[in-house]
Amino acid sequence: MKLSNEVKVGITVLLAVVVAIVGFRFMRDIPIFRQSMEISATFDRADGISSGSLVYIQGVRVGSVNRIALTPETRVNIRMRIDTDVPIPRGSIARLTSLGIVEGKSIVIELGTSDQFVEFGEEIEGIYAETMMEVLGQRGEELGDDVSNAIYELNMFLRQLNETLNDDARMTLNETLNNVSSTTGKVAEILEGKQQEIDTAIESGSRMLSQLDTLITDSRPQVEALMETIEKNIAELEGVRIELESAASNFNEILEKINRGEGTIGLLVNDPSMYENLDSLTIELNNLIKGINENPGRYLRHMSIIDIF
Amino acid sequence: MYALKELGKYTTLLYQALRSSTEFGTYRKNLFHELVKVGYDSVPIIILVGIFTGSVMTLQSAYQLEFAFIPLSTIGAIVSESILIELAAVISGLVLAGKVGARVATELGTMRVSEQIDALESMGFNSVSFLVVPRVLAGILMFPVLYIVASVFGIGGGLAAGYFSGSVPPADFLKGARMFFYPWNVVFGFLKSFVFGFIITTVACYKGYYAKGGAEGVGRATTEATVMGCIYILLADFILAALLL
Amino acid sequence: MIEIKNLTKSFNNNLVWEDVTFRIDDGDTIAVIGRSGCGKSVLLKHINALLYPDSGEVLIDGENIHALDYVSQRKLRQKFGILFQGSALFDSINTFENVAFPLRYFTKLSESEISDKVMQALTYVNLEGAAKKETSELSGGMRKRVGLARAIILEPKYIMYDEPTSGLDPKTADEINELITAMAERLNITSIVITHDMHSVLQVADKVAFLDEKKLSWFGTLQEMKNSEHPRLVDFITASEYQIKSNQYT
Repeated sequence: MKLSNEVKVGITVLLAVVVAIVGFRFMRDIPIFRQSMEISATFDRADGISSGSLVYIQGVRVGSVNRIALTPETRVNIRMRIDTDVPIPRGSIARLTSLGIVEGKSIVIELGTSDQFVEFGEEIEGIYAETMMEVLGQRGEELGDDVSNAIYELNMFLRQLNETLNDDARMTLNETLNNVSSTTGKVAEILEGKQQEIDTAIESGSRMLSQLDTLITDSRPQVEALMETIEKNIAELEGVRIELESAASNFNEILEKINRGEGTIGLLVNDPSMYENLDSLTIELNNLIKGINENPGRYLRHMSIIDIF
Repeated sequence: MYALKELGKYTTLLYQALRSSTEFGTYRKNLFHELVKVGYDSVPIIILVGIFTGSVMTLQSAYQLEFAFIPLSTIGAIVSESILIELAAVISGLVLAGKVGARVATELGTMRVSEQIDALESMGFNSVSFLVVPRVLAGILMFPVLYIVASVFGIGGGLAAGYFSGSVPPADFLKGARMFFYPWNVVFGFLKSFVFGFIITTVACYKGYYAKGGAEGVGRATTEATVMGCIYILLADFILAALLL
Repeated sequence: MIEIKNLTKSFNNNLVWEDVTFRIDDGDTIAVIGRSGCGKSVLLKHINALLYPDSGEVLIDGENIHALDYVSQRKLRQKFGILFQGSALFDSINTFENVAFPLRYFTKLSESEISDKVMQALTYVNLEGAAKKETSELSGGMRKRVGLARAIILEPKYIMYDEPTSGLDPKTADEINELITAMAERLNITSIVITHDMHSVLQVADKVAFLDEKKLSWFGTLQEMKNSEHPRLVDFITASEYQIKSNQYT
């Protein structure tokens, strides 16, 4: 079929017009073939919103901004086209917000719970939500002050801590350590002093063993029980030793940390009561050791070999 | 001096065209002939130009923004906005300066040097109304139509390129394209194509209508029409952007 | 009746001719002769106001064509048919449409009436069979004849020929000359023939205007020309003598 010039022109223009209208509505997100729902909301301001900005419900795009107008009260009335079959309850809130730092602004509708629904053209409540960036931008100065205050205070604290550690506390710590080492020295002395008694105990023990030899046959079960007790005692001694050892290493660690001014201990070090406690503890320890010296039997009840007899 | 004389002749021709644009009966038949030549016949090349512009834009934007910390939808926004506001009008304008401008200048130039324009005049025709008016009208009527074609196929081409290359999913592309879609940009692009249509056809008509010197003169007229058409398009693009944005 | 009074024209300060004055009476065939580049065609374009003179006027049946507004000027131009040097056929349409072209735009004739008139005009110029041919298929002589048919289709009062025989072989040129004479007699047309072909002048002209040395050098009837002793005119004529004689003997 041969088309006349008029027909060709007509086809071209008509197609272009149709494509333009469809394309325009498509780009503006207006449904191409049916009338859509329209609602409006009023916000304090409308930064970042322009006609064509998107409208979301529960993260689903449902429409776009149609028109933006300033109201006489210098607020901003935004009309938006909503294209969804889901009705919007009365009492829903339109929140003008940003979905991310780099994304543009959009409007998010938070659905209300009413069983009545918004009609065409009705207005819902609008809230302008400031974004992180805006808050930072607007309150930057304020925040900056806060931050520098905080840093200043932190600095002060650290300086105080340092001072405390440098002078008094370091002295107290040294004293504590001295006390601890003298305590240990005394423990060693005690052990040395008791050497003879222990020797005699072992001697009488060996004497007993020879006597025991004779007793073995008739008093075997007793001897066996005795042996068990001895073994138990030795094991317990071993345990005590290990505990002492780990306690000493723990203590070492703690002391190291204190030396470095680390952790809560650093704070505790500040506390004079701690020193007093430690001091009194040392005194009591001294007393205790003195007591052991004077009356070992009372403290070495577990080593009651004598009690067996 | 020479430039002023040219400008004067050009303006006079435009004035004659404007004055004789009321003689619709004289150019009605020619108008439809020209509308087909300028519009209908240019659709294939414009589709081709549109598709390639859009897809190249997409691929290159995706390549350039590969390592940047931005959402993929930005590419859609870049491509569709560039096409609507600038590329659809300017690139098709440049292509049509070659296609339409050269044809018009050659036609009128040949008619001038073979005395066909004199023949028309001597028969009592208004040769400006008969030859210039329908061509200029066809230009300003059909260029916006071709702008639509270029835009649609440009954005479509960009979308398709993003999809087939796997660099930009269509959903992201459309999201960006829609988010940054401002109707004013389309109006602006439309206006541009209107102005470009006017420039290309009037410059070509002017060069052709006043051609002289046989076949060589026609060749010169054609070259000048194409080159000057392109230059004036770029100039007008700049002026419009400076004035209206 | 066309009166040309004190016409002067120059292009960019180059004088073409000055003070040209002569009269063309109805029914006459005037030959305007002169050497190439003496401004014969420029004179022709002044007569129907395709060009404007620096001074002087051209009266067509008493109306100064250069003083009229564009619309009346175009009306007046329709009293003229012109056969251009290169025929100036519209190459986008075929022979028939070329001849029918003025009819379509300036008359309200029906399609069959147009067809009748076009075929009649083509018969005058002996081209009945060429109606459906494209203009590009036509020979030089045929193009001239189609141009002539188009020039007479609106039944003009005056017809102007711009070098009607240039570029044609002698036989075809002869045919064209015969056509010019035939047209003048059959349609009672006043003709203005611009030519440097003396053979053509002798065959068709009643009066002769000789443009030379940037002015109208000589004007008179054909008989007066043959007896003239104007040195440059004699020189111009004798330069063509051989051609004329050889034509007469064949």
